[in-house]
Amino acid sequence: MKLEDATPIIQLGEHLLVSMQGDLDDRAVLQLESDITRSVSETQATGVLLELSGLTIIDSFIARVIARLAGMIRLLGAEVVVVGIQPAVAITLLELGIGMQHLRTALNAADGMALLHEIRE
Amino acid sequence: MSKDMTTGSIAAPDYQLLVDSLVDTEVIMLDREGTILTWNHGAARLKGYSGAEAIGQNVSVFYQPEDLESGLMQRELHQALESGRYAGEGWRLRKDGSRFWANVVISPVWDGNGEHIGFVKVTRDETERIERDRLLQRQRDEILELSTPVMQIWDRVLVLPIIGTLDSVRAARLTENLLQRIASDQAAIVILDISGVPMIDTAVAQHLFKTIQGAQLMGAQSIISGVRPETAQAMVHLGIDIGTVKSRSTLSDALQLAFRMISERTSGPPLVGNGAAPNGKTPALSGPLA
Repeated sequence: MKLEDATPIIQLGEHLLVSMQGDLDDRAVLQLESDITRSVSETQATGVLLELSGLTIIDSFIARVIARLAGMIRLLGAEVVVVGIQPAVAITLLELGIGMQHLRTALNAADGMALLHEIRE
Repeated sequence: MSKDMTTGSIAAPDYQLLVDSLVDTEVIMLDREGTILTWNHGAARLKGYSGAEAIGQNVSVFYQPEDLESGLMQRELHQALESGRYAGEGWRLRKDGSRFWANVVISPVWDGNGEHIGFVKVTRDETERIERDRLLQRQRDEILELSTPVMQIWDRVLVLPIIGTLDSVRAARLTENLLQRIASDQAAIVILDISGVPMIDTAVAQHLFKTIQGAQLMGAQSIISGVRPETAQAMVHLGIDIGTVKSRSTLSDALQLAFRMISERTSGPPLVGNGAAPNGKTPALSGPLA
């Protein structure tokens, strides 16, 4: 995988911001899973923002990837907030019957950050 | 009317009399290449050409240039010949260049020896109907638009008063509108007021919860208001669980709750703003880790 294809993971204090990109193949997903889990454990992050505003379309594959990532992050002791879901993506998720009720969501990264602080308090 | 019983065909003069009596329908004969052989009153009224002007011309003069380019005319004649009949609709041109919505039926004609000699083309003006249909569709769209209003009532608070029956078309439009507004207004709270919904059945409840779920996915919280006693009874009897969604009896109660939720959010440690970094305990960005 080329370096520029890597999903950016940015540290914001005790939190991590992960900007998901749309075109993920199986290998990229595995790479992302290992990057994120390693980053969470190395930085001892208490919260992770999965930022989806870069996704304009979604399918069940990506939806499963997101749910899996959230599960891994939680196992590592960090909270997860999914932010920036676009209207079209939300509608697709509803149509696919993927409610993601178990995931916390916020409108944007700032709101997500607020929510992470709230959860921790 | 004299009729040749042996071949079942009508003698030519009577045929012309018959088709001329059709004043609002064009019935014309074409040869195999589409050259116009006969003309009737209906054709003259519809297209504005007299018989003298039209006969001898190719039927292609009635087609819009882009349709000719795409080979529409050849396709129509070909299909008529292949399957014994072509029926279709589309825009055609009058002599003055104006267009009308034509309902066209083309049938092939064979002579006594089974030789293909041409086509009979029957055309009716359906412009009024198509314009009526379009008007109806436009009005339907407008009503849909009007019936799913989303109002921003306060900073980051949207109100969606739902009035009337919620069918699946309206519900889809409603969800779409609401989610778009959540994104554009950066709304944190959505109040769905259902006091104007006459009846909540399973389908309506499902639509409602899909909408709430969609808002939730985008990070906006929903408050339901205006649940009437009979609605509450019906929902519980139907086994509809509203889960963690908050409900208030009136819109004003829901608004109060919304204000409280907003102020709780904004009084928390990080400021909520457009991409602004939370203040306080936020160190500078460190580089990408991946």
